[in-house]
Amino acid sequence: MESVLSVQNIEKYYGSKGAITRAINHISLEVGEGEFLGIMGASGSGKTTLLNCISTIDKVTAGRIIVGGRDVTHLKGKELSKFRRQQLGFIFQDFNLLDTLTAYENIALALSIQSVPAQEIEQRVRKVAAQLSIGHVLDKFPYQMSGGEKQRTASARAIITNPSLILADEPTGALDSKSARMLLDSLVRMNDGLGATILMVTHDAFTASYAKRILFIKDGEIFSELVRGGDSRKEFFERILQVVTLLGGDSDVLY
Amino acid sequence: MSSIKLAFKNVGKSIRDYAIYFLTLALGVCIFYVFNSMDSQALLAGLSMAQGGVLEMLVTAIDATSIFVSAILAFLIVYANKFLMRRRKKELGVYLILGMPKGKVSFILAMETLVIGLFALAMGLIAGILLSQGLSVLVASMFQVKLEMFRFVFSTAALLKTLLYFGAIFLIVMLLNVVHVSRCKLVTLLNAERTNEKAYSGKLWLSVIAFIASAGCLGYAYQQIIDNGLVLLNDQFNRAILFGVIGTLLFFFSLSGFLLKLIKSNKALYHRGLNSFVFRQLNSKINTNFLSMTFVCLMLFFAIAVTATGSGLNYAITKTAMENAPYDATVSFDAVGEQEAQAQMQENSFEIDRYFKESYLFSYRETGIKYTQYLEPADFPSTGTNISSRTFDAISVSQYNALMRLQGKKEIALGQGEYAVCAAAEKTRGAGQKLLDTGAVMQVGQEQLKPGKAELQTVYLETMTSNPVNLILILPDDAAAQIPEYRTYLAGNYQSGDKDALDLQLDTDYEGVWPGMRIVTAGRVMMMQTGMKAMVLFVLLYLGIIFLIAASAVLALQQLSETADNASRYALLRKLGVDDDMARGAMRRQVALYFFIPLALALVHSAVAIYVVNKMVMEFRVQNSLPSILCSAGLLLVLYGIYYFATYQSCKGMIRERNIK
Repeated sequence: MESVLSVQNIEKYYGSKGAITRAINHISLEVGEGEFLGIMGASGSGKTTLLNCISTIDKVTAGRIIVGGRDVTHLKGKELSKFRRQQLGFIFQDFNLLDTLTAYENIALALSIQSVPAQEIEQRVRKVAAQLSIGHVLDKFPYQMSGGEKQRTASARAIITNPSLILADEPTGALDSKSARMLLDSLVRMNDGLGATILMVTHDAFTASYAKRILFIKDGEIFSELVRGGDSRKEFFERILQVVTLLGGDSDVLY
Repeated sequence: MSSIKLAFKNVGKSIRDYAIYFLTLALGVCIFYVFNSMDSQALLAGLSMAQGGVLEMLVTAIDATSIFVSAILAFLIVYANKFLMRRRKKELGVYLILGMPKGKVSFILAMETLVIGLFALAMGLIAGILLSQGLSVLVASMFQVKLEMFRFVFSTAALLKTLLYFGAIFLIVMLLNVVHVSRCKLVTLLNAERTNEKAYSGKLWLSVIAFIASAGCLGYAYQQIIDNGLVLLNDQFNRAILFGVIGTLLFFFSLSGFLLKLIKSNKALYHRGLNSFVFRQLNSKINTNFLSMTFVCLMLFFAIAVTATGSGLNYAITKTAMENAPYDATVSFDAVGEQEAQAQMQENSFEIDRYFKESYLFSYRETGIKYTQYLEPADFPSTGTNISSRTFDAISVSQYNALMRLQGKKEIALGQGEYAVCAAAEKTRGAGQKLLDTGAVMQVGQEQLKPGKAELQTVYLETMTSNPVNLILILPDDAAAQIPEYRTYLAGNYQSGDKDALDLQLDTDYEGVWPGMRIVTAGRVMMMQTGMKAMVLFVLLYLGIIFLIAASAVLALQQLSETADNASRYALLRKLGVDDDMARGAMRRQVALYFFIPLALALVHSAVAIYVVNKMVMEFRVQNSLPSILCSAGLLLVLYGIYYFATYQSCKGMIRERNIK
C-alpha cells in the first residue's frame, strides 16, 4: 500500500523559552492510499493541532510531514495555497459553506479556483452531487438546507477536486444523529466507492466507528491504535469504548 | 495599565480601522480651514475699498456655507464613529465582563476620540495652512492684487473657527460614545460577531420592469434638463431632479437582479477563479444597500456637477463683465429730458469735463406697445420673467448712432418708416430676432413702422451690473419725437490718466451723495463681477469637495464593514487553497466595483449636466470652457481615488493569510 501521508516525528510547541506548551510531542503516523483513518482524543489532546499542521494551516516546530511524496513543512506562500487546493479537501465541523453562494456554486468554487473550464465543472458537480444524494439541493442557498445537506455539500466540495487526502474535522459535531449517520455513510461511500483517502478527527466513539483504523491521542502523544479488520461496526464500536475508558483512566475529562 | 495608555494602545492597534475616519476628519479640517481663511491679512492690505467690500461679501457667503458644511461633516464623523464602535463591540464587552466600570470604558473611548481628533486636527490644519498659501495667490490674481513677494498667510480667525466647530463635533462624538456605552447590554456586545444569514433573492421580471422604468425616468430627466438649462429653478427643473432621483433609485434596485443574471449567463466567466464569489457578494450588497448606493451616486453627481458649473460660470461671468461695461461710466438721472438732466447736473455742480474726455446724453422713450402684442413668454426662454405688462423702450436712431461712435462700434442706417431692434442680453435675442423675422408692424405715434434691413443689434447702451430682459426699438428721429421720453442717461469715457483713481473718486466722492443722480463705473462693474465670480467659484468648489468627501467616506466605511464581515469567508477561501493574489484580487474587484458602479452612473449624469452647463456658457459666446470644467471634475476624481486606495489598503489587512486560523 502506497503511503499518501507520512508524518515523521513531528513536534509542535507553543510559547517561548520558560513557558512552553507541548501540543504535539513526537507523533509519527502513516496513512495509506484509500485508507479511512480516525483520530480520537479529548479536547486539548492535540488532535486539532495535528490536523492544522497536516493541512499546513499551522507550522510544526520539528519533524516532517510528507503528502504525496512531498515535504509540506517548508512550503511557502503560493506553493502552500497551490498545495492546499490541489492535494487537500476539507470538511469542517460547522460546514463552512459560503452563505452567499448556492450549493452548486459552493462545490464549483473548489474547481474554479483551479481554473477548470466551466463545462467540465458542470459535469463534475452534477456527478458528485448524484453520488452524495444532494442533486435536489444544488440550487439552494445554505440557509435553505438542513445540516446534513450542508455537510454533504461540504463533502462534495472536498472530494470534487480528487485530492490526495480529505481532512474531516469533527464532521458530525453539528449534526443530529440521523443526519450524522447519513453523512458517515456518505464518507464511507467516498472512501469505498470513490477511493478517497480520509483522515477524520473526532471525539465521538460512534463517529469513529465508521473508520477503518483509529489512532488515540493523549497529551500530544499517540496512546494506542485500533484496526477494525473483519469486525462488524458494532464490535468495533465496543472496542473503541474500551480504549476510551482506558484513555480517561488517569484523566478527569472523559468523553 | 492606565486608561490613557490603553486608549493610546487601542488607537495604535486599530490604525487601519481608523484610517478612513482619520482621513475624513483631516480632510474636513483642511478644507474647512482653507475656505475660511479667505480674509487673511496679507490680502486685505493690497485691496482697495471697493475690492474690500466684495471680499467681505465673499467671506460672508463662505461663512454661511460653512454652517451647512459643518453639519454635513458632523453627520459624517458621527457615522464613521458608529462604524468603529460596531467593530469594537466585542472588545467593549470584554472590558465590561472583566469588571471595568462603564464610566471607565467611556473614559477610554473619550480618550481615543481625543487622541485621534487632536492628531487629525493638527494634520488637517497643517495641510490647510499649506494649501491656503496657494489659494491666496489665486485670490490675489482674481482681484488683480500684486503680491510683491511671497508672504506667509495665516488666518487666526479661521484657525479659531476651525477649532471651535470641530471641538463641538468631537464633543458630540464623545457624548454619543458615552451614551452608547451606558445603554449597551453585555450579552449583545459579546455576541456581536454572530452574523445572520439572509435571503438574497430577487425576481427577474421585477428587475426588468424596474430597469425599463429607470431608463425611462432618466431619459425624461435628461431631456427636461437639456431643454431647461440650468438657469431657471422652475417646475421643469424640479421635474428633472425628481425623475433623476427616482430613475437612479430604480437603476440600483434593478441592477441587483440584472447584473448577476447577466454575468451568470456567461458560465465561463462566472466560474473563473473567485468570480462567482465576488459577484454573489456584490449582488447581495447591492440588494441590501441600493439606497445607500443611490445616495452615494447622487452625492458624487452633485459634487461633479456643482464644481463643473462653478468653473463654467466663471468664464461666462468674465465675458459678461466686458460686455456690460461699454463706457467707463454711466450716470442716470431722476429727471427726464436733456434740459432737466443738465439742470440736475448743474444743481449738483457736476462738471462733465472734469471727468469725461467724451460723453453723450441720451434718453429712452416710451412706446406704450406691449410685448404680448407680438411675442409670447416662450420667446424668452430661460428668463422666467413675466412679460405680460412689459412695453417696448425706444431710442432715436441718431442718438443710437452717437452712442455707437462713443463705443467705437458700427453705426446703422434706417430708412423712412423702418425700425431696428437692439437686444443686449443673450436671453432676449431670440425674441428680438422674431420681431425682425415676422416683420412685425409697429404703430408709433402717427407712423406705421416695419423692420428695416439692419441686423439685430446686440450691444449694451449703458454700463450696468445686471442683464435686464429688455428689448429696445431704434426708431427714425421723426417717429421718436412723437412719443415721450421717460429715462435719461449720460454715457462717458474718462479723461486719459489713472482710470482706477477716477473710478474711486466717483465711487467714493459722489455715490449716495446726490439723490438725483446715480453713477455706475466700469471699474465697479468689473469688481462686482469678479466678486461674483470668486463667490460662485469658491462656494461651489467648497460644497463640491465636501459632498465628494461625504460620498466617498460613506462608501469607504461601508466597504470596510463589509470586508470585516467577510473576513471569515476569506479565511475559508484560504483553507480551500486560495492564495494571496487571488484573495486580494477578489477583494480588490469587490471594492473597485462598489466604488465604480455609483461613479459610472454619476458620470453619465454629470456628462449631461456638463453638456448643459457648457451649452449655457457657450451662449455667452466665450471660448470653450470644457477644459476647465473637466479639470475640476478631474480633481474630484483624484480625491475619490484617494478614498478608494485608502479603503483597499485597510481591507487588505483584514484578509491577510495570518488571520485564517
